[in-house]
Amino acid sequence: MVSRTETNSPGLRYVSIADNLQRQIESGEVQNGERLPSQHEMAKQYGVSLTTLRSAVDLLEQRGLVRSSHGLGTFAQSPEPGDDNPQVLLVDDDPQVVDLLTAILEGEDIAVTSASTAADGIAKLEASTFRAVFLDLIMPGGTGVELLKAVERLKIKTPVILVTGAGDTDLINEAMDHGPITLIRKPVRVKQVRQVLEVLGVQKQAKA
Amino acid sequence: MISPAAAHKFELIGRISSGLAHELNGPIGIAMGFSELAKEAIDNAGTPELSQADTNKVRGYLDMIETASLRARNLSRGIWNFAKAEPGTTANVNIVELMDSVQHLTAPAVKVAQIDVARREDPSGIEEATSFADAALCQQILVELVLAAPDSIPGGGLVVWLVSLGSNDSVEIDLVTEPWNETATSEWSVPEYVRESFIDMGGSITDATPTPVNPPAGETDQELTGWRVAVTLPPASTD
Repeated sequence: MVSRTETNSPGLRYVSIADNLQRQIESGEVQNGERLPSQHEMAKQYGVSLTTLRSAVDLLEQRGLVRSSHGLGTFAQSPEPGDDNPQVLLVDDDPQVVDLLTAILEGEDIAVTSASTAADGIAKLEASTFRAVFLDLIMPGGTGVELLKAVERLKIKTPVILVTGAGDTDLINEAMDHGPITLIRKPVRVKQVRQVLEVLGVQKQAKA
Repeated sequence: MISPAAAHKFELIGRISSGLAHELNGPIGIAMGFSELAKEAIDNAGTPELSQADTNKVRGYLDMIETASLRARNLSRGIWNFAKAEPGTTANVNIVELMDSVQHLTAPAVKVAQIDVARREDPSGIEEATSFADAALCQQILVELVLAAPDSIPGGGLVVWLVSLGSNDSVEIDLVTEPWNETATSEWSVPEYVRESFIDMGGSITDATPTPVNPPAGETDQELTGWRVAVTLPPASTD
């Protein structure tokens, strides 16, 4: 059973709906494996359009808290054990960018694994589960698009945040052909990274 | 009347500056990010004096800011030195150091084409190889040569260089394009004024010749072809 809870969050409506559903799943109010009401019903409950509701469900799927099965519906997934300290994968060939993002993420109690090439990043994605990937686009040995293709091929739901400089427009357009991405422009601002983490729900459970 | 070499140089400065402007975003962003974190750490300390742990944390952030600032300074210093260097003076020049400067100037400009410039790790490489040459002109035409490489590396790759001593103590620079996943479709074309300038300096440059390269492990199974260019510069002067 999904209960509608009013949220006064000033943020985007679909994010607050996703946050609300996340709280219900994490608290056990909505059981692991329980089928959520149809998207039409939930849209009606929350008083939003179907598009807004779908965005909320997509976000929950990126957070790994629901899975959708075509024709069957959307099912709740409890967070896996060990998710109390979510892990994030950083893929960037610039060690100082990795250092900066690591300092920001560790400040949020998020564990970090890093890779300096797309190939190394793909290997790490295949070996472990991550709550998010911060991905540089231009790296030696292959672009970040290679990793996005692997994410698509492996059907990994982990949200990808592209961290890239101006002038990479062609590559960004190419990247967008391989699934939903969030974009952070360099220079990286601390506040912006934290906002993205919040929207994607990638925080330590106690802080969420 | 502007000389052909000077006209080419203006064009090169434009191309290098464009890459440099993009590259500078990196260290500037790092310095800004760690500045934010340092200010937060001080604001969150909560007491008039920082604890040892907070002091260490802020010091670590300041170290990162310093490293990023030095990186930015080296980038801008490289283009400044390149812009102000005037051809016309011949002296003994360490070609290894010169190639290092060419690498630092060109790498940001070709990065957007997914190309990196690197020194080849090879036991025959040396740290010092002195040639009696016009350093400013030599740097300029080597920059031009490297910037001409991307057309022959369509899917990204490397331009690798190696300096060694040739016969009669001449200095040899071996430059090879190494594609990562697509074989070259067009030739690495050596600009005519580059060729003429090497000859004027008493050196020479070969045409680009196809050469087999080993792609990075796992990238592709197909055999790839790159291009090789060999430059010879006169030996050092003993006067």
